[in-house]
Amino acid sequence: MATKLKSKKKIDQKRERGGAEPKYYEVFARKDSHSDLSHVGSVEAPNDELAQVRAWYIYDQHKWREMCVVPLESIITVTEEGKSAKIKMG
Amino acid sequence: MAYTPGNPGTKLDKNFENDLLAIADTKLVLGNWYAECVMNGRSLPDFAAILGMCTANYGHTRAIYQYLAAHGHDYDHLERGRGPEEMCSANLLDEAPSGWEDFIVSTWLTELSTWMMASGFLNHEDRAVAGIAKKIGQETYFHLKYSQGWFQIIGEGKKQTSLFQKAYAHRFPLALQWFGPARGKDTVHDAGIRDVPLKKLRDAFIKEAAGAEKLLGADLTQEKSIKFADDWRGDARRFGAMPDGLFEVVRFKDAELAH
Amino acid sequence: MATAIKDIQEDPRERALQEKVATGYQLEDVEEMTERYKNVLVNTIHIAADLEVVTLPTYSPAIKTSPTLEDKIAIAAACQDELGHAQMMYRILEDFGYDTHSFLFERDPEEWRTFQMLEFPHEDYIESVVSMCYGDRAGYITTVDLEENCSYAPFARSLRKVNYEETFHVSHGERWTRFFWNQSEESRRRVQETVDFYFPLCTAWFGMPDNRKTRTDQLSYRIRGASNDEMRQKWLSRVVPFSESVGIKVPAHYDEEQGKYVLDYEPPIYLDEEKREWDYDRQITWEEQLKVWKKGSKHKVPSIARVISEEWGKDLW
Ligand SMILES: [Fe+2]
Ligand SMILES: [Fe+2]
Repeated sequence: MATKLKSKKKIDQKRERGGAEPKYYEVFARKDSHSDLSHVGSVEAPNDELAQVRAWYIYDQHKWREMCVVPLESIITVTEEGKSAKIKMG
Repeated sequence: MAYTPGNPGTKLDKNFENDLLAIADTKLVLGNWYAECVMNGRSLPDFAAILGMCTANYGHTRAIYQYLAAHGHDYDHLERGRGPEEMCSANLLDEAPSGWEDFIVSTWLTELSTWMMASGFLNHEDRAVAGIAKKIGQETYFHLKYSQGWFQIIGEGKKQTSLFQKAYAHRFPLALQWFGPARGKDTVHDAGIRDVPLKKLRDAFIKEAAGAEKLLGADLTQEKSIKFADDWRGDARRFGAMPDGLFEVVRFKDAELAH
Repeated sequence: MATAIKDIQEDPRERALQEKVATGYQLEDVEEMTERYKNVLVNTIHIAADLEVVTLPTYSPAIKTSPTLEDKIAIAAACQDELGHAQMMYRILEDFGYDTHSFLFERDPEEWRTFQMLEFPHEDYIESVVSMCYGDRAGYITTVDLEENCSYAPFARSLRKVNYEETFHVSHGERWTRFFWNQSEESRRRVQETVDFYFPLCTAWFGMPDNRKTRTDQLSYRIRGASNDEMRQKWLSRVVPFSESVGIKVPAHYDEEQGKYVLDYEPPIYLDEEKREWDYDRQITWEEQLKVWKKGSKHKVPSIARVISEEWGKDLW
């Protein structure tokens, strides 16, 4: 990098991102008892704890009644067989 | 978080007020820690999480100041009328974090100790107080989880683990000191304002604070003998005045814009 | 980026996709895209994502200088929203082979694609609320256009949350800009001074005038729906009446004859960055303007450098 930095962050991919490849979680939430549990987005996290917290602070547009995170690798696509899940956003 | 008055107007027990102010001021400083350190965050979602914890802590401070203001205090004075010698934040947060590991240790110990203290008021007879304590608990749940997530990451690095241990050895006694002398007086409990004895909260804090060992996968030293010398301000739960450098960060600026 | 429409029409695959999106068809999959579509889409998201991230070094310094807890909370919460927006956009970019980590932390600050409006760290709370009022409004007009028109459905969907949150930033900005206008003579002076600085910056947010450029791929592929001038007009139609209702002077007005809002000056004009003053009488060329935009303000590199660096101990307090 051409710009000189005094103390650039050194981020350890393996520890801080959960492996050689980053680890993703999909986020699901329910607004109130009358609403379905819906997909609201996706977060990257190296462990379940950080996935929960990051999801909570990023998808805080509502006071969710319920929220959960699912590791992306656990999602099995049905209509898009063989491809990775492309739910990701919204 | 909005404050709903319970029994406004009544005068509060002095020691109870001191405890509330110690929690509020410590959280004010903690909020500023998050604000000052957010750009040190190590991932994009962490920037958002740190700002979320920043907002939550400021919210707790504000709710407590508002409660005190409903009971004879001047809100403006509480928020921006006090000098460094009147601030009641924990010594734990005086010194700026020396690195990411120290940041995680210090913020975690602060979240944990202030929550312990606040939890003593969950059954307070004034529903406003119980409500504030409950809200602090609900939000701190996520802040503690954030730390726990990081313990695991730090624990996987040798150098990071030793930095964590060093920071812990340095910060833990400062956190414990906030609870006051082990066999000190417990006037708030004696007066029936807090149904849990302080000693029980202190012990619970020690036990919880040792819990990091498991996620970190390494031993931690808990130095428990603390000397309470002459300049201990029991009412403020701290030694001396807030250092000038920190006060300059924490103090509210642009007073003429206050509303 | 501006490619003549003629070349595209010569490629039947490109033309087929253009015709398809013109009927309102939305893509769900990377595999449905042509190279050219992919490039213009990724470019658009890339810039939008960078702009969300730079709000951190731009807005967050005002947390420390805010007059009350309530104001600190407002800024920190808005900033938290912006970083959430950034993370969603970066997440989409990953489907196109971007690596968030190296994109965020390993890129030279000089290479970041930011706009001048977001390159001045806020010195105080007034600057933050004026920025939310005029600047977030400009950003909102861009992202609403993308939400309503973008032919890539995952991006359009993700903007629902973004725009929902942006309405809070804008209304917070309007409320407090109005408040400080009425609070005291001094705060009124400061509001006016800040608007004087930000108004031309926000006008420039929408880029070059339409008559200076050929129709872009962004429009041909329906990545967005409105042209630069159309969006600028939309922005003016919100901020000019707002300013007039408060009493704030802005260099634009509604022209009855033309039936639209017009600027009282001929952009581009010269900015004295040190003094933060515009010289309305000193026009510069578009070439000069593009150079200024490309280089960024003097704060750009230090601001981004801070995000990718660490500062501890005595450097903090
Ligand atoms: Fe945004
Ligand atoms: Fe915004």
